[in-house]
Amino acid sequence: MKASSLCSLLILLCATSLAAHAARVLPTPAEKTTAEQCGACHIPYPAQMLPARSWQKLLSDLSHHFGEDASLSDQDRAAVTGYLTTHAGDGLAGGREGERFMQGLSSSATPLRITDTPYWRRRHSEIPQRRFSDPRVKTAANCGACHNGRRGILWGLFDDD
Amino acid sequence: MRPWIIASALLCVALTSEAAPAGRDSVLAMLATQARQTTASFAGFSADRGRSFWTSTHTGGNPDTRSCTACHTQDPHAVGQTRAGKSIQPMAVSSNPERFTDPEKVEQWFTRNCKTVLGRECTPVEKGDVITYLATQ
Repeated sequence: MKASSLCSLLILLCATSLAAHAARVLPTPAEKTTAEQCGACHIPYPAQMLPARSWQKLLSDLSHHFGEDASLSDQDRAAVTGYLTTHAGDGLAGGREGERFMQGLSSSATPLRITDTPYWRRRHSEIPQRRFSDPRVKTAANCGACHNGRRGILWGLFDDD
Repeated sequence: MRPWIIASALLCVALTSEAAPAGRDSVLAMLATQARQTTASFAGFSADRGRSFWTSTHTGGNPDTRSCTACHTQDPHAVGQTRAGKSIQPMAVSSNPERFTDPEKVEQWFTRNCKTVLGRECTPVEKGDVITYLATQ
């Protein structure tokens, strides 16, 4: 009886820590405006994946956002900038995951694409280019095409929609 | 005394928001007011003009997205896709009744997408025509 209780407890602990890990690796922005506005066109990328200076630069020119006008009202832009810079990889609330995403990034570099960070490149170095241009994926910006928990990719689940 | 003041204030807020413009008809009415101011010959919105605008290839914007249909597809009832691979719910009102009912959303998305596709803002007539077209779909 005791042994089986202990076993259940261990299984529960393992499951909880796995679930917590997946959630911790790529947290969806908790701030409503960020999740809604950024998430309208693409996955609301976790703030931790870029340094604060990158978010500042991106948010300062939303009318030229990778070939699209993504302008926001001043009020929404302030909310999004506040959230993203605080939770940025090097932000006050970036945490340990943020530190991980900042690995190898030069302090003089201000990447505007997550795919330009050394950490992302290292983690995806073995994925051939044709995987990203596959019509089902379309672009490397479409994280959720692969990180959806359906194809055996355990790490980095995106909690989208 | 005080609870009455609070109750009256709440009632006022409720009445004001009830009376505030909401819904597709008021969005169209607002655009019609703007259209009369900017276009002297304005005589109402046209679904046909809207369809033509929606399906036309435009210049002046991002060459990757030269038509509304580039992301929204040729079928307004279909689910579209953004350049970043995110799905876009149908624009046809019969498939998605919430379309064009929130004035802020309408303004935000016309502003963004017209600049992306045409490199300029759309006129009130163009916006009203497109909504009128999609409301018949």
